[in-house]
Amino acid sequence: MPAFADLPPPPPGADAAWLDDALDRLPGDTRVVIIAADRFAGAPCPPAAALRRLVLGRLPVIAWFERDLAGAALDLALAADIRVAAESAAFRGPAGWSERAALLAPALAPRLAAGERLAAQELFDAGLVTALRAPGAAEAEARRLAGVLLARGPIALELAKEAVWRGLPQPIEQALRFETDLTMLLQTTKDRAEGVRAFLEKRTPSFTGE
Amino acid sequence: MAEPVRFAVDDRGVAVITLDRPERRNAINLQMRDLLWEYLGAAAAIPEVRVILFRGEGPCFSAGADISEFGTAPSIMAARRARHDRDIWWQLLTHPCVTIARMHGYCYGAGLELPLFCDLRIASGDARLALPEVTLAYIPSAGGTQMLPRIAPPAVAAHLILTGEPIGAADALRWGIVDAVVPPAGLDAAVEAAIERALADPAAARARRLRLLGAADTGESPAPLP
Repeated sequence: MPAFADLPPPPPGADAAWLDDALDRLPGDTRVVIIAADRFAGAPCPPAAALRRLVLGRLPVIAWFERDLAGAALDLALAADIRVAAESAAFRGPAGWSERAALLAPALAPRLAAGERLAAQELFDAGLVTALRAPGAAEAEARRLAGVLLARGPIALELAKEAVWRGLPQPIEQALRFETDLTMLLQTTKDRAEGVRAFLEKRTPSFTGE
Repeated sequence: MAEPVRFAVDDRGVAVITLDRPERRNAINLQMRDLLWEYLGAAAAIPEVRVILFRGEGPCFSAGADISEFGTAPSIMAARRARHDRDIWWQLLTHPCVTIARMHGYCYGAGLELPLFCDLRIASGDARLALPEVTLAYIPSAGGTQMLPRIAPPAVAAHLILTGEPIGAADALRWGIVDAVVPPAGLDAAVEAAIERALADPAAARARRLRLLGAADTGESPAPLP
């Protein structure tokens, strides 16, 4: 069974390499990474190169949080593809990874850099958080979304993630051709053929990641 | 048989392009893509045409591409060449006219991507927006993965593209995916007002698209290539 994996918080006394180590040790069948960001309060701040592995890697990443996030916990949440927050939650600036904050929410980034507290509602309005839930309900929504992603074709998710985060820095003309080429690559996969067949036969597709 | 895309120009210089295949929720097939290519070319060639309005006949704008035609190209290279030879998305992005999308009901897949290339998106309160391609192990391939993160916050784009789940008109407005949301009964009036504004100040209406292209609006056509 394909699975999601919870990113383990670093052990006491861990150094800044803990995130690289944790990513290296994810189970081989992991298809979605979930980050319970609240649990990373006080963790050593990982280097940007390790955080970028979450953004540019093959697996979709969902972060959820109920409390105020600062430091490493904030940077980890910023590295995720999808952020789920409880209404009680907030970001407390500054973020260590300010470039990522500027990319995701250019209007909020200067306030975060100035050390402001940005409440979840504001993060939601700015599209930095894309699911806002009542206190206590963020984890359930994160796990529901992980289930949604597990039902999708893993290759399609890998290329969709690549299209968004690697396409965004490109000039639009090249970016559109990049999307077309990723699409053409997908046309060679069994999953894509299965998706079309299942749609036409009005049944749930069964993806193998091939 | 009537053609599945209609094209009409009024005396103000407004070209109306109607997706007219309501029995298939205006699913865009290859014939429709070719008609869009022709009509966009015609609109650019007629000097009097200054605004293009896209609309869908029936209860929705468009539920997306016609999946029954997927995988019918003789080879990957043939599919890629056809795509580049009939690139209506680049045609839209560089079009000299102001382009407006009238969005109602399902705006899924290509039915959302086409509006993303427009200068203005006016939505009915009943509009539902999604890029559901990943549900079929596919990715948005009519520009959605590149246009949405440039129009909406990139994390919103990532959420919609990775989950494939739909959002309503209120969320679309919050995140800037559409420019206005009005009750269904007021949609035509809101679109009409947008057309009048576009006719009065086309440069303002096109400014956002030209910024995205990295080009200055000289008012000359064709729009400059990067």
